[in-house]
Amino acid sequence: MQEPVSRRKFLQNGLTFVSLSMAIPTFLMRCAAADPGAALAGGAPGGAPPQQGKTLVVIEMQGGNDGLNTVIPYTDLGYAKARPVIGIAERDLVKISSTVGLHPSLKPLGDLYNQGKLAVMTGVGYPNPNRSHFHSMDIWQTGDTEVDITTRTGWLARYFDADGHLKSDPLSGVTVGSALPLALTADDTPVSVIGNLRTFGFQTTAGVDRKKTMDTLQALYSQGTVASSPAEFVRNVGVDAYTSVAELKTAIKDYDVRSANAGKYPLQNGLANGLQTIAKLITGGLTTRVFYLTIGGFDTHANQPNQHAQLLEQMADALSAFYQDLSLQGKADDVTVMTFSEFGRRVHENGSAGTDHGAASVMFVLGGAVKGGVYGDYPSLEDLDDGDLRFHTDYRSVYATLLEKWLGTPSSTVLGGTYPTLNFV
Amino acid sequence: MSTTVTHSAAAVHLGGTPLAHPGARTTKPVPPGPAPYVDTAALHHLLRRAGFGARPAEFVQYTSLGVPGTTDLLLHPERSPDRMAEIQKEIGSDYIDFTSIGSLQNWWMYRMTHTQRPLEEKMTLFWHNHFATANFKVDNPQWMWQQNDLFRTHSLGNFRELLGGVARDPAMLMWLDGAENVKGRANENFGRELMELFTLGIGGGYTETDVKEGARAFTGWYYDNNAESFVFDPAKHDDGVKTFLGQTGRLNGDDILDIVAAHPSTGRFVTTKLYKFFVHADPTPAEIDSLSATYYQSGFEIRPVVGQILRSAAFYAPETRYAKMKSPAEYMAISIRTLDIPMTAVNDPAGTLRSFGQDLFNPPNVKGWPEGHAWMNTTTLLARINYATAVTQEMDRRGLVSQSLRNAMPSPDMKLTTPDQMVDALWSVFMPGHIPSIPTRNALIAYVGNGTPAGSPLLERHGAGLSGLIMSAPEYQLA
Repeated sequence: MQEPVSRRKFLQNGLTFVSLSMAIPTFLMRCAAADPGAALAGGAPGGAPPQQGKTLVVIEMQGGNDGLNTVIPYTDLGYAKARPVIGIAERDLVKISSTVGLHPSLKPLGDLYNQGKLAVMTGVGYPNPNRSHFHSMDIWQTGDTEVDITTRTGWLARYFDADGHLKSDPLSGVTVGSALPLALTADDTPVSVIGNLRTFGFQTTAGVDRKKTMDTLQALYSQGTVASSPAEFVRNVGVDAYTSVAELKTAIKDYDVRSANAGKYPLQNGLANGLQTIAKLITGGLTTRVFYLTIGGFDTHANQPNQHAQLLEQMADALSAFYQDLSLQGKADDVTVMTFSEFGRRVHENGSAGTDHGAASVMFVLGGAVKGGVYGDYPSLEDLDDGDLRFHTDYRSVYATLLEKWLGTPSSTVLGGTYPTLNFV
Repeated sequence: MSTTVTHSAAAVHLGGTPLAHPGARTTKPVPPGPAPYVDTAALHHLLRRAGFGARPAEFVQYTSLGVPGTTDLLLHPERSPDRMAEIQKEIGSDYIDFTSIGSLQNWWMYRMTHTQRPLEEKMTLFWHNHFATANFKVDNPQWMWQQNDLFRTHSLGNFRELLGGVARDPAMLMWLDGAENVKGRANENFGRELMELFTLGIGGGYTETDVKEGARAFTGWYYDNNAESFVFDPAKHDDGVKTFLGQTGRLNGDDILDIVAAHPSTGRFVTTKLYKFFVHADPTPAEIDSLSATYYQSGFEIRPVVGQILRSAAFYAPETRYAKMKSPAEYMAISIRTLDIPMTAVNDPAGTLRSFGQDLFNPPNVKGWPEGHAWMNTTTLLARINYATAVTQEMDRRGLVSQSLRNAMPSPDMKLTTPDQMVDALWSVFMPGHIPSIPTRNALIAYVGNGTPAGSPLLERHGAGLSGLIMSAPEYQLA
């Protein structure tokens, strides 16, 4: 009985706190069932049984990634015309089909493409594109093109809500970074955010006083200690922190045991750092369904070429190392990565060797279970929508595909509508 | 007929708001004379929200002014000395390395914890988050400091003047690509955020055409590195006719700022944000209408708007108190002031704030930090708890805890011979005006009582541990 080790161990280690707090989270009750598999399957009533052990890693490329210089339609004569300064020469491309090629910095992704592990979605967007970073990011993160400030809940948080047994598990969704993204934000379901594994814990004094302090902390965060709703919110975060710390400690211990097999990650690469953390947690046996992390800097209004090349190189190196590591750990088939950005950029470059805010763009989906290929014809550069590419695939079709075919949840309740699924998984 | 009311006259006679513009209305007078009784819970609330708490000695001074007098003083930072240079020397940090963002971050934290003009500093933090600019792109700490000083200078001043300063500010020009915005190749980055985030707000009634036309008007505005000054270059300026928010003409950048400052959406947008910053997230339409009217009638002055907020019934309502999530800067600064913690006892203030989720001078994007519940997640709460533990232990190691707690207690001769006296006294230090729940109080009493031999000095023995626990409690995360 190796899996799921961490939860079992946690249950034993964590009981004192749980009984003290009187608030046994649903997920602990689930874990207490004799057969973890049966307990997992007891999730959403009437819904499809959740896929076991399947993990989604979502990477937000913040700032509006220039999709047109990420995946280049090199046979479209409009490309060189629109981008005389920042255009990428055909001979430099990593060609993946007879019509499109990847930015030269994405060579490692080209290799994964050749192994059939990378799906490239072109022409992804939504109707009436919004060119504000924040509004468009809200649209992507909520899965709602009509989002307003009163209806902002994240599409991934709604997935947890819909799949009832995930809702009260603080480790269902884990953000590696310093802040919770809107995609994982619901009204009353705080999700774990893990900044740095080394410091994620309670640093109290040693010895007798530590036990006394921890006992008192637990008591201060027990149910019934606070009356106001904001204090109750904090209290819930505290309970989540405590349970997360206990589970993570176990998970990382398990990873360290196997770390002789761990893949090599590039240094000085924040995204790679984050992905390695995720690999540790997955390998350590956490049953987290969704990991989320962000790479910023894509708002390339000026002097784009160097900046963009560096960002893409960082991404490709990090993703490639992550995939290798998961393969070594025997987990590559259980993990799918999806990248997105709030919008693509204008087709025509601006006067500062950069590009302004645009619309439709590309997405990558990567993983051992992914059916590689280029999905959709590249939108024409001659037939533009107010200077931007026309989308042909609604971004919610990509979400729906991952929800239905990867996470095993009916997508219409999460997305508030039905979107055709694609064949990349 | 309307008259211009000078600052001092307004304050002396009315306890009200100085209104610098002709045609402005004075606010309702409050009864004159010293108050016989000071609501210290309300005073603490005011100082938490409009400042960063108070040191025990400062609180004594504010008590002598009462709540109305303290409100006036906060609204008029120029009446308190700016002793920061001396204070820097006193705390042994008079050297600021302007090429280091870490040094600058620590400097600002010193300022928040030591200034005698707390509302000026609170508003500086507000503007930093409103015109959110990050050094990760600007890459020039000196410019970041220059911008910070601009916010401080205009902290409670005129919004139109502040906009003029911001539009010429080197960090902002770098942040939103002002240098790239030239005739024939307009860069719309500043023009868009000016309306979306700084003035009208999203949905405030502008179009994509307004964004483009506005950007044209700012062409030729840039910062000259060699001259170290803002420059308007007529050769790079698009002098053509533009139509912006319904007005047509050869508009330049200042014309655009005039139009957006006076636009009907701006009053609502800016006062709503101020209300949420000081009070809570749900202002009523009537409250915003009234604040917005003050904004326009005063000729875009911020001081009367903030004054109206701080004197409102909603601000002091029981449900408003201890209901707003402390931002990381508030959490740290209030704790430092409450216990008069020496800055040297705080390990890496800037890095600690970053671990709380607030990297000063590096907001996540031009929209700023989301504030409110977004400050609180498993990682940031753990960081706060770990800070609370570390800083109280360091105070203990230096032998400072007992005296600091004694100084901070409502009265210096409180009896501290039983665990429940200890808990009640320390709770009143950290959570003045708040009564803990019975389970919370019992948990803390158990901490003090368990295993403590009768007759041992409780304050010396448990002062640090109990302080750290209260600072870790859910309630203490709220202001």
